[in-house]
Amino acid sequence: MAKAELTQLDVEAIYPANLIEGDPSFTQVTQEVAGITEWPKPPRAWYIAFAIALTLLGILGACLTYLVVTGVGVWGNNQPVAWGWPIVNFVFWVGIGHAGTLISAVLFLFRQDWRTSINRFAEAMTIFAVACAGLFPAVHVGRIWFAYWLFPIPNQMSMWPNFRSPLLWDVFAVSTYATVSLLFWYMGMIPDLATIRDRANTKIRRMAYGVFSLGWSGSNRHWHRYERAYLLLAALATPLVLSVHSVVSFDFAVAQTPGWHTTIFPPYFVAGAVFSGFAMVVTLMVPARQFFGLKHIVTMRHLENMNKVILTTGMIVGYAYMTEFFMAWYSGNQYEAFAFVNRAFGPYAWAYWTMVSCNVLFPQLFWFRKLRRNLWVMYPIVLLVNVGMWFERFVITVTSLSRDFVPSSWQYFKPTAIDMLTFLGSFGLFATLFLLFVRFLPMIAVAEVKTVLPTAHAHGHKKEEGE
Amino acid sequence: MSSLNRSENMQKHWRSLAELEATPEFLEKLGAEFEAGDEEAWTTSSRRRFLQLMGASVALAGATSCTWKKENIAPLADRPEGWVPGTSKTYASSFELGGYGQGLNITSYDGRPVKVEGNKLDPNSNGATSTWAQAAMLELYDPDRSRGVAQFENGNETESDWAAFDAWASANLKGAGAAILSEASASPSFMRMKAAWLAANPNAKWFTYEPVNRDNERMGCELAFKMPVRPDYNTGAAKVILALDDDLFHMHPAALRNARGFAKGRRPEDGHGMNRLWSVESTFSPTGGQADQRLPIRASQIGAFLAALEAEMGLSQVAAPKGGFLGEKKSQAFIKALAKDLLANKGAAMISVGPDQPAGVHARAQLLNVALGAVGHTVEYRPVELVYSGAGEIASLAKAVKSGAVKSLMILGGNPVYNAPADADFAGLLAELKGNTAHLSLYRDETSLSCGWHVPRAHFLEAWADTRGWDGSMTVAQPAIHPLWGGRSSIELLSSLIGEAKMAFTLVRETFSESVSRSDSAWRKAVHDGFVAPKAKGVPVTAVPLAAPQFDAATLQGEGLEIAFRADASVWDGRFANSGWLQELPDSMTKMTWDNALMLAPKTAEAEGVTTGSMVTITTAGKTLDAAVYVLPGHAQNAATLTLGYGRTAAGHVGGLLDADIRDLGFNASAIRSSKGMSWSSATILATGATYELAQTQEHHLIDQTGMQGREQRLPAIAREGSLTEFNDHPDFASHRVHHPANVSLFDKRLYDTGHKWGMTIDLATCNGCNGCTIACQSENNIPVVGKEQVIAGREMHWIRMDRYYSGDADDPQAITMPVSCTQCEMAPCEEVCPAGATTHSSEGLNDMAYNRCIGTRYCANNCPVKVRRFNFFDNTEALSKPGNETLHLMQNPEVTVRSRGVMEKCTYCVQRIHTGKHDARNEGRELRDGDIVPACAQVCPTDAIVFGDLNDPESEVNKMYSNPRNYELLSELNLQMRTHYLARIRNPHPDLAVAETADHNAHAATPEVHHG
Repeated sequence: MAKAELTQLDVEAIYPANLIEGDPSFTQVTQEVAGITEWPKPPRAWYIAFAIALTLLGILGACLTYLVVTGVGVWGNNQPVAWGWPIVNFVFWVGIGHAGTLISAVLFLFRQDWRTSINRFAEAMTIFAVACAGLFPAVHVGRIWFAYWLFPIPNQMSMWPNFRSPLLWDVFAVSTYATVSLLFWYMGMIPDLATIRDRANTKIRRMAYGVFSLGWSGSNRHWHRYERAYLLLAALATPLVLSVHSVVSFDFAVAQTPGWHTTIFPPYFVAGAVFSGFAMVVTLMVPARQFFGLKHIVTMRHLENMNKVILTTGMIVGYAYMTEFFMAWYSGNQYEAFAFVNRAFGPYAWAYWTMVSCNVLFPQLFWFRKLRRNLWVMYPIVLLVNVGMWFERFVITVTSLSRDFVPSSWQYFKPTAIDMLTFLGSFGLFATLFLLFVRFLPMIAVAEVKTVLPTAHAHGHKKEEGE
Repeated sequence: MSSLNRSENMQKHWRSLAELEATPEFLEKLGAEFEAGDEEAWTTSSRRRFLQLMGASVALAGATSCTWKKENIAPLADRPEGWVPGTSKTYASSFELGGYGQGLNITSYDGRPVKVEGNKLDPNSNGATSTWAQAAMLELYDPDRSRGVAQFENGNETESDWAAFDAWASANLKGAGAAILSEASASPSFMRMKAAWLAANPNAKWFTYEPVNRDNERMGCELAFKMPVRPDYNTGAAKVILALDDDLFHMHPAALRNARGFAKGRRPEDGHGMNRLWSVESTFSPTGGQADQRLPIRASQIGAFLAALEAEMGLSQVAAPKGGFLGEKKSQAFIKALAKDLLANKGAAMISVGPDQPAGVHARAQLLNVALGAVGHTVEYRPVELVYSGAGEIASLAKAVKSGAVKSLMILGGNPVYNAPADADFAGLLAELKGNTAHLSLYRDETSLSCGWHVPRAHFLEAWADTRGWDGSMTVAQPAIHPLWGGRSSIELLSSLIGEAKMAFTLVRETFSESVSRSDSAWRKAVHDGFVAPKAKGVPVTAVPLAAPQFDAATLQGEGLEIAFRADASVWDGRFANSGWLQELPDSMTKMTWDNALMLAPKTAEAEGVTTGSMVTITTAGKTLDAAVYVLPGHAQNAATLTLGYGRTAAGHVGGLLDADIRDLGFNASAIRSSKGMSWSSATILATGATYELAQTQEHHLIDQTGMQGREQRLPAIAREGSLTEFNDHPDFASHRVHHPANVSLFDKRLYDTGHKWGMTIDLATCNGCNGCTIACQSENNIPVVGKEQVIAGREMHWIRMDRYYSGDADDPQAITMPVSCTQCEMAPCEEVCPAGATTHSSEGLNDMAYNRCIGTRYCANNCPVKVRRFNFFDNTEALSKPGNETLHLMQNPEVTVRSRGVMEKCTYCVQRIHTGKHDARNEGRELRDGDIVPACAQVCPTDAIVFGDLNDPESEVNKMYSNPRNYELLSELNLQMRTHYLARIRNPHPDLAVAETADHNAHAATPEVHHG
């Protein structure tokens, strides 16, 4: 095959180290990324998006106020389905919060350089998703003003939480994850914050970025310690990727409700979390790179890699669905078997098949290279994955509870408008935080990206090849 | 006899209530209460009597003064003997419904009654109570009760007072032209006062109307025996019972006694042999659910059925009716087997007939009872006390009004404007009297609004009264509190109408002296016991053969739709419509709350193109009503049932109040119930296309195929039942319904081998789904009412619920009821998952709830396999703090915490009663005895299906039940070590019909074994 016939695509495929398109200089990259935070005005789309986000946030505030004033009855939760949308939303958001740490920590440890363009973005998404997630368990309790009793705080009432309860494990798992993710994100951002500080032309900016860049001077010693610390944090954060969602899955797996009580839950939940997290990263990345002109830094290759992860984890999830059914049959336990038959053919069959199509069927299109590199194909698919993964949590939580052991208590669950508005509002919180992030913080890890620039390698692959 | 019978002691005590003495209003009441008649009678009464009076007075002084304007606090300088603040006292009383009474015990705390229980001494109650009697507590304290005399003119209400009313009454309710319309009552004092009023006004008229009455039964007996008698059944002696369209265990005046007697023959291990219940009925009643053999036919076909039965038994002179439903194989086999069974059990068989059946059916059934040798064994005939009180009375009244013979009318109780026959236009009748009408009533209801006067009635817990039990006994009803709103009882009102104005106590005491005994000790005993046993065993009867079978051959085919009207198990004829407890009480069979609905058989509904929740227009004799449909499996085909008592427009803030824009509940059957068709009439229905949401606590939505299969598959393992044959072959068959590997736990099992180990058993064989336990629990444990919307949302709060399952063919299914409350698992799954540690185990094995500690994660509810945990989704006790609702505070049981919003709650085995029992035993310096502690549900159960006790006591009743072969643990494969066990239900199908039945019961083979790793 003649060399001349190689297309750009082929080249990228053959030489995976080709991570950044074009050949931007270090200055260019700095200018492009840090510049976004310095533009006198963000693009108009940002304003529109921010207005929408604030509106949704307002809705969230109104819903939560109404909830606190009135009682959890404003939601659709009922007697068999004591956990409804709030817990579904919690698991959904925690799941989304997985991609960040996976990309930052795990891919870092595996020296997957392509992560540099997207890790900051994904980490930010993680933090905000965990913030949304943390909101739900806190407000879903009956007496919100006593939610702090979940924490082992020594008190005059001699109250101590029950350490046998998976909900308590959850409190620790999620709070640890949130803390480590925040630290990891923030620490990784210090050199870039310093860059913005150095470029600042107003006093306020200098002060603000100055405080947060912790006196970073870019000295060799700084870099050395920074990289050590980053590596250590990455090593610390890596088990968390597995632990958080495993512990979240214990909320279900430890209970004896048919449909919940299965040992497959931890790996299945982790795979699902990575799946949904990557889908959400792509969901956010595609418009962001478009609007902020970062297409050459976040390239099609990055998107494609993420789509491959989505395809893989989607199949793991699909496999888990099948295993669940197999085990339900193989166990010979009529309650267990019924729980799954009921999922697929009972009153919630619509939710179950929505979940299966979104999570298992549509991602199969990513087998085709053309399709996984096509924005118009990938975008609907990742949106569907987001939907599917919400439904997965809905199916697990609600269908199992709605029909457990004693048939007299079976009941169909119906959400209320407040349920829906609260969930919608949580997107407002997420989007508000995200839009503030893209406006004021470096959304690409500038310092890291520079390490993979062709310029950083005097004999970059592409150039070698091009000769 | 205590020292309190000395009046000086009494005087001294009252003097110490210094503030009270200074209140003229109180003195007046005090005087009135004590002045009437012979002071000796009560001053020499027992301590009980004294405490009752004192309690009533304290409550009056402290919290419940008549107007709420003034609060008096009256500290006691000397504590009266026997009174310990904060401890409860119990008084005997009684409750009348539909003319007959039932003995009660009222529990009071510091002068405020908080709980109604049955009177253990009265055989009509035996400690049990109907749901209606228990709900009296809520009725007593209902903030919607009328609080004074009012005058109505053109719909305008003006407050008035008793003096004004008395003036009006003495001018108008006298002599010719005066009339009284009363409810039916067999109360001796009431009948005496009625006679006294009629004697004082010889030209006046008296009418009696009771929308749900037993006139037909009386007429039937008069046909059969030529004397006014009524049958009193002894179900305990019966081996074979045939209930013809009769809900013998729920709607009968002696339902509790009937149920108790029947239950005696339902425990095969007793060795008494089992009885057999045959039920032939239109509506699937709970009694039908108890039946061993049931045949659903239209109410109008009972006559033909009975004729065919007589012919089959060879007791009929005429040929057996043929054709129609009698031509069906099923009916033929049924009649054949039934005839055989009845004849084989002569002297131990009985036939009961529902009050809605025509007199002819009653007559023939009673003649059959005679022929079967039932008299003296399973049936006694007692003289009828009640006068006729059917639609005819309203017609006579109308005639009298139209002819001018009646010019003024006093209505004692009842609510005829709401529940008189649709064609009577009772409101129009009242209008003709132009305000010369008065209504004595607890509420300012529909009738009050149409009368010139409304006068408040004293609640039965507020005034002395007596009632007549169905067995002929006389019950003495003690009041438990002074009238909250200054009402008068009907006998007091009658007394004032004849110018005597005696207090109820005097009237009852006089009646007692006249009719029972003049002796004080007899009176004191009657007050203490609450009842006086009947004098005679029953009256001898002579059968008078009837000429022809009493049925209409046209009914055989069963063409067209027939609508039957029945009293409602929740609100009766509508009088309990404002009771949240009763409205929210799921019907035994339909599980419907807050509504009634037109009940149709599945096939009939299909043919009409309607389903549960469809709105239809019902047309009978020119009257129409829009109502929602409820598809009831096992209902007779081409027949419909609509219960009475709904669609109230002036019931109150709970039951519907048009003036306050509170929608009426359900559908008013009275609108289409005409005087010609009080029991049933032909009707047509037409779907309107609209739908209506019904609030059910089970099967909230129509179940899909998958759910149905899952339910059928697991039902044999949950509500276990078997036939007598199966029991005889394998008495422990129930424990073999599910086989699973041995349960192994990771944790050491706590042994609970010292101290108490509480346990409970629930016998499904004797539970008849009467719902008594649910209401008893609600009353005992301050359980809130949540309303229709919340029931629809699935948030009802009952700690003990009555599960009802059908099995078999939807056209003629079998039903089983199963009360479920917290089973107090030793390895409680709820406890493990609570992050706040709010639910933990007590040393006696109780699964305790620390409400204060609960933050409401609801994880416990998710992990509860029987779903008995109840969550306060809202501030369910908000109503208590609303202005005007202060009386509801008085109703709360002070021993039980009122739960706040956001807190989980559930059955505690009545832990407050456990503690009281232990304290009492300790104070008396003795060991706790079996039976000292009885939870509210076990206490109220008419059939003793619920047994509670200490499993560490080898002699305890509950231990015996645990070793009963029918004993089983629900979901034992989960290794929860539940403390509540169930005893399997045994059915006793007739051997000739059993072939078809076993297919449903042979569940063991059909159900896959449950394995749980």
